[in-house]
Amino acid sequence: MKEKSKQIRRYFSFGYDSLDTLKHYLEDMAKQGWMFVEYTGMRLVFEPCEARELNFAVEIFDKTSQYATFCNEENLEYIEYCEQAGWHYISSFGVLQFFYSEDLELTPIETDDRMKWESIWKAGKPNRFSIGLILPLCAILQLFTILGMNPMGIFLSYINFANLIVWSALLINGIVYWIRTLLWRKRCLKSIEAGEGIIPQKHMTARQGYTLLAVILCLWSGGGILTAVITGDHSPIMICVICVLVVLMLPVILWARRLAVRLKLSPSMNLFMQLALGIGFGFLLMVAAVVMVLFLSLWDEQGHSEWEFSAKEAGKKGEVSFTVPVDDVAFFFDAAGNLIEQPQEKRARKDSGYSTKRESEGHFLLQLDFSSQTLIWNYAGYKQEKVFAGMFPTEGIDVHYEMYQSRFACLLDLVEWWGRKGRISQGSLNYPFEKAEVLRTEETGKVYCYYDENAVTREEEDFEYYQYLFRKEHSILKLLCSQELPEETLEELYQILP
Amino acid sequence: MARAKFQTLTEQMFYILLCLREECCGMDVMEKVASMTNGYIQIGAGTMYTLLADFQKSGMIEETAVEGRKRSYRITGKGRDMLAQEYERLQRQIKDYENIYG
Repeated sequence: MKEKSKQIRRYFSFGYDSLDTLKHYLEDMAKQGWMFVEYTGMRLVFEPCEARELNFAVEIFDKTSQYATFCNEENLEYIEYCEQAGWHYISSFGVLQFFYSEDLELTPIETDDRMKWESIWKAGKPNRFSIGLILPLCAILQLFTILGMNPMGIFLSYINFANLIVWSALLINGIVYWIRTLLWRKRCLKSIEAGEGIIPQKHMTARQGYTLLAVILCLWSGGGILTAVITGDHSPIMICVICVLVVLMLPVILWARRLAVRLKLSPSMNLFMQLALGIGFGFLLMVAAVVMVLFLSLWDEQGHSEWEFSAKEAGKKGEVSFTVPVDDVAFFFDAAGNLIEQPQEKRARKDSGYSTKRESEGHFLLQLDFSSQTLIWNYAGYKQEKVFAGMFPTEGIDVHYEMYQSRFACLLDLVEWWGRKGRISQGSLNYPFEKAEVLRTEETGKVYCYYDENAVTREEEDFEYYQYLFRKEHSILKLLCSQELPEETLEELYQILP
Repeated sequence: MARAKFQTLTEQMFYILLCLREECCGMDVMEKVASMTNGYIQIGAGTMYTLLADFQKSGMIEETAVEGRKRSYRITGKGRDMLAQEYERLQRQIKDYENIYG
């Protein structure tokens, strides 16, 4: 029985296109007194032996499956051929076959480079399919979703931003993979034609590969934690859960492979088990993400500052409020649009029926806050529910806003540019800059006003609808009012903006 | 694409077919080829296994006996035609060479 404690396991990065590199590594290990015994799918297992020069052969037997867990009859026949020729069989892993010989001059197992190259190319098909086709296709789909539907989302949310980076990297990786593979193919065919054999493809070492993976996962999750700490938005922590699951996924799949070998499952059952595990893990990932989102939304809810306004009081006094998310300053207007002094304690009663509440699209490089678009009006016994703003009892005024803030002025320039182009509606600024009148021009910014008496029309009555836009270096405030605001109100609002 | 593969024969393919004029197994073929060519042509076990399977699939050789995992083969009429075709091709090449340098 083999003594497991004396075994050593080594990571070695190789592909079907670099089997000669692996062969030389096994020979070097034998020279150092370590005999190769098994490949586990991730690591090479060695046992102590007398240090000596050995001749290794790592071959592809393409008449078996990559998911084979035991040698089929054809494979055994192939092994017997090789053994009769003087090669000692060590082990197999799917299509990979490991042999050694003490005769350093023994005829190689594969003597036809063209045939060898064809089996290498054939064995590389699944990799080309997944790395070169499926992943880039998923990346294109994801990038199209992220950039095509709401490009501003990448500045609003760390998750979107990280997704953009990760999927872009996967797409670039796919492109580089194809360029490298096709160039290698061309060089190989040329070399075989010239009788110089197959040129092994260069791969990064196992250490480099795992370091790169660790750096990516650390940056990805670390960025999530940092963003959560800085912005107070806890949802990016979800990325850490995904990273942990991704790290756990590798040993689980390898464990499944070992289990399949132990149970001697057929190649199709082995593939099915690995796919089922992959899908299962994907499902687990989704569940974890949903649970995290729910948990974090509850957490965020506790610290969320929400301003609600009493409809009954509004009905009596004709007041309306809104909160600018700069130090949570609340403004209260009377029916004429004048600012009135109100203590900050004046929070709404939840049972008041009508409420405006502050919501947020994201807090990352860019911050977008806006007033709720759902209006529930329970006034003087009359109850109705409307979606979208612009409706308010005639004795009051209606105020809705969108506010963009960023430390990076260039991002606000981009927001304005998108707003001017008007090409993207979802989550972006939509304002008729060309038609708007410039009310103020200062060194620090501008105030625009656009008024269209037909902007909002209800069946019974028309509402006046003023669209103000405050453009400053670090903020853009778009204000929709059912009445014109006095000069002093605009001045005060302008001053408070960053 | 066996037909496309065997449109012309490589040295190794040529000698394997040549040796299979008499019934023999893969290992015997390897030894015969080595002795016939004084070691100039060496055929690896893996290459031999693959080529025998491909020749059999394309009908150029046939299996004649099976003892355990040891299989014996012999060339078929189609295989002989292929050998003859290859011989003519090589003859043409020799003739062309002689016309120029002979």
